[in-house]
Amino acid sequence: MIDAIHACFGVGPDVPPHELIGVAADASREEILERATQRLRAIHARFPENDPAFIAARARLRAAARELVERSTGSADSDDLRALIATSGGWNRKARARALRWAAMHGIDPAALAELLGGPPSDPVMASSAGVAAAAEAARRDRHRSWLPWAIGSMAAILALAATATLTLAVLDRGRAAEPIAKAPKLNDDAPSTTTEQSRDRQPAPAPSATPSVDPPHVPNTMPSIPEATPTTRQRAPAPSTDWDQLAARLEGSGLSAGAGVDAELSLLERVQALTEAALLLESGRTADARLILDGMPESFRAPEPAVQRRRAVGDGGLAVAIERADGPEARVLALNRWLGAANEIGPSDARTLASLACGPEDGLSRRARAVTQARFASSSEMAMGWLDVLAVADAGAASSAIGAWLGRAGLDATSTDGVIRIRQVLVERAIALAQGEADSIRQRVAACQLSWERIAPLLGAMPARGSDGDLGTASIEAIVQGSIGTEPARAVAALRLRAADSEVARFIAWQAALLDALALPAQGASRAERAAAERALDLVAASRAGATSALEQAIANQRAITRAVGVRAGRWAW
Amino acid sequence: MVRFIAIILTLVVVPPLAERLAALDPATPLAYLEVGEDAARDGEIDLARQLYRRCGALAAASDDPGLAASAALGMASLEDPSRGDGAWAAWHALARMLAPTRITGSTRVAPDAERLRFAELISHYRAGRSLQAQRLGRDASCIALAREWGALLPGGGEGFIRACTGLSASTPPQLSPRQADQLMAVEAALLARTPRALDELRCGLMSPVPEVDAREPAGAFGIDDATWWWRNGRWSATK
Repeated sequence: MIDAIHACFGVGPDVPPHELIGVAADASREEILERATQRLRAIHARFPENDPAFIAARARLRAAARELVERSTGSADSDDLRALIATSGGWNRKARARALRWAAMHGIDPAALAELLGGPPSDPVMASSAGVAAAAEAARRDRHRSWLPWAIGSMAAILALAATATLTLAVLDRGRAAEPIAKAPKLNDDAPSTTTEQSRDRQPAPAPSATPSVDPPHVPNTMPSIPEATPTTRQRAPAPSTDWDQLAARLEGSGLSAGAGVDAELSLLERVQALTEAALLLESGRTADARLILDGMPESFRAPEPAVQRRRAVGDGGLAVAIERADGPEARVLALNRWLGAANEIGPSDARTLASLACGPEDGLSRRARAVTQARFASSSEMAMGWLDVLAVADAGAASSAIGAWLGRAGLDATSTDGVIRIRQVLVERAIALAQGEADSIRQRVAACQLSWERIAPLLGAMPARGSDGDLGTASIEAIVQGSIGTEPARAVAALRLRAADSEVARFIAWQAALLDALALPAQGASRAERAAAERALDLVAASRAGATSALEQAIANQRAITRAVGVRAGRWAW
Repeated sequence: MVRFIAIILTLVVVPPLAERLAALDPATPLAYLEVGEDAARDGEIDLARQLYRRCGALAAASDDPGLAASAALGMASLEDPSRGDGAWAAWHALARMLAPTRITGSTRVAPDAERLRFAELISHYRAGRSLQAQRLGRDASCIALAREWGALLPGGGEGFIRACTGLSASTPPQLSPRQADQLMAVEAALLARTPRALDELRCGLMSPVPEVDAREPAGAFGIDDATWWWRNGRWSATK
């Protein structure tokens, strides 16, 4: 997959966040967001919205912007905090609820929030307060009064900055940031509650299986040991149920007619994986991150356009005739030059002839042919196939150097079986990539699926594992299942499934099924009724896999069930 | 003469099928497999299925996964792989699931030189080099690989070999862009030794993965009663 950020700005994959966005390390929040928006717009101008390269670039920019904004939020100005006290309505129940919600959205646990409000534990004021608190009740009341104004100010400022950052990041996700940034100070006051209320209003009715949006936050009573979330994640407050409704709506809108094609199926799989990611983010209380995924996704799924077919060159075969007619070495070079002047495209036959000339004995004609293939036809799939076809009959030494020059690689050795296999492999890959060009969406979508699993792995408490090129994410799923598998029977079933898998795609589906089992049937905590419901649901998924018409359809069925299992685990959905 | 003696010996030494059926005992599941093989050879396909199923169920119950896997392979041998119902693939998947690890291993891969030869055959065919294509088209390893990859070759495995051996220098093959791309995909998967997910998807190897219940694989044999004994031409639960 093309690195869109590198393609647009020449920025490498491992640069720090501020370099990725193109700001100084100590840039202000406004500057960070404005610059990130500009970069996103520039990328959007070159890449369509559903292009995996654009999606990946947007995710990277989003993560970098969020990280930088959070850093700058941490060093907020105290004057700003006081200025926002009036608009916060004071230190009351509503403010506390907002504070907790904000903390949940930003992955801050209650202890850290309390610390943030009252200052660090090492703070002498806090230390002395703690001492007084231990002394007497009256003294504790005094102390409470003494830090209350500061807490109110901090609270208001944090709410304001959080709302600004959340809104701006959400807009950044869509590539339209200028207006919300300008209006942000006004929206600060009640942004979290109005946003939630508006989204509630927009929802005509919750999904049948979803918890009604007015329900109080529900702490899941099923706490599976597989895979285990981090303790701090578990302590966070659940997200508003409207987000789960939104997620359910997108899951329901993710259908595809049978036989739609590999490209469309991979695209749908990628989408459902993104929904799994959103579900896991909601479950862990990272509502803002989940919303960024959900808001940027249309409610119903649209299959991508099929890849364009390769054109064939017209008037193929002229080069061989021209060379054959030429009498003498100089005349052959002239014939090659004349043919080059007339030909705009190269066909398979001319490509073979040119490759054959380039692999010929060291003379003017072979030198000219080598130069021509590099200068004129380096990005031609026909040329790659021409090299492939000639490799079988050319002198091994000459072919090694000529193809090496074309590929820009030294040290290729066509004299050994292993060497020829490697050269052929590179040429075939090059030919496929060039023939399908930017429209090689299968490759891009496989890469997107793999990246998605790498993002999901940490949310499931596992270290992401990088698979080989062309992997659907098997390595990451393997890392999740092996790293967190709980019971011995579950391990045995996963091993059996894997043993039956005889291909890479089958292995991917086997790992998915193992992960689904682990999420649906936790080692402990589930009641008998819950376990029975989960087993019925697993039977239905198995039936849907058995009735599928393609392997990817089975993978999509698994992935949908995995997403639902996360919702059930969070106590938001039922099977 | 030798064949005649062998037939006579078989008739004398090996008892008739009915007699062997009557002698079946659940304590020796292997006998069910052996009789099933003979029944299949004699064209008694339904009977062979019943025997393989019982063998598999008994072997799984007596904790003999190797024999259960053999019964699953026996069931697969009675199915037509080209039929679209996936039964052949499902029995093979069950066999892989049941078989002890030491005898499953990874899918057999042709040696490097054979794969390279087949890749070169594709090149010669594409370029219309009739002499080289005819020579390699008769190579045993190329024929085997063509059969293996037949679903993805123009004209199928046999058809592709026929096209190679019958290739004329004056009439090079006319490949559509789709066929040319498909040949490239085959070559990429062939050279990658163990095809990756991307190769499988490109090549169109997208048939659904057989669904076998991993919690109870032996349940696939479908024997839930105790009719182990063959009495009066039918299965009986009593000895």
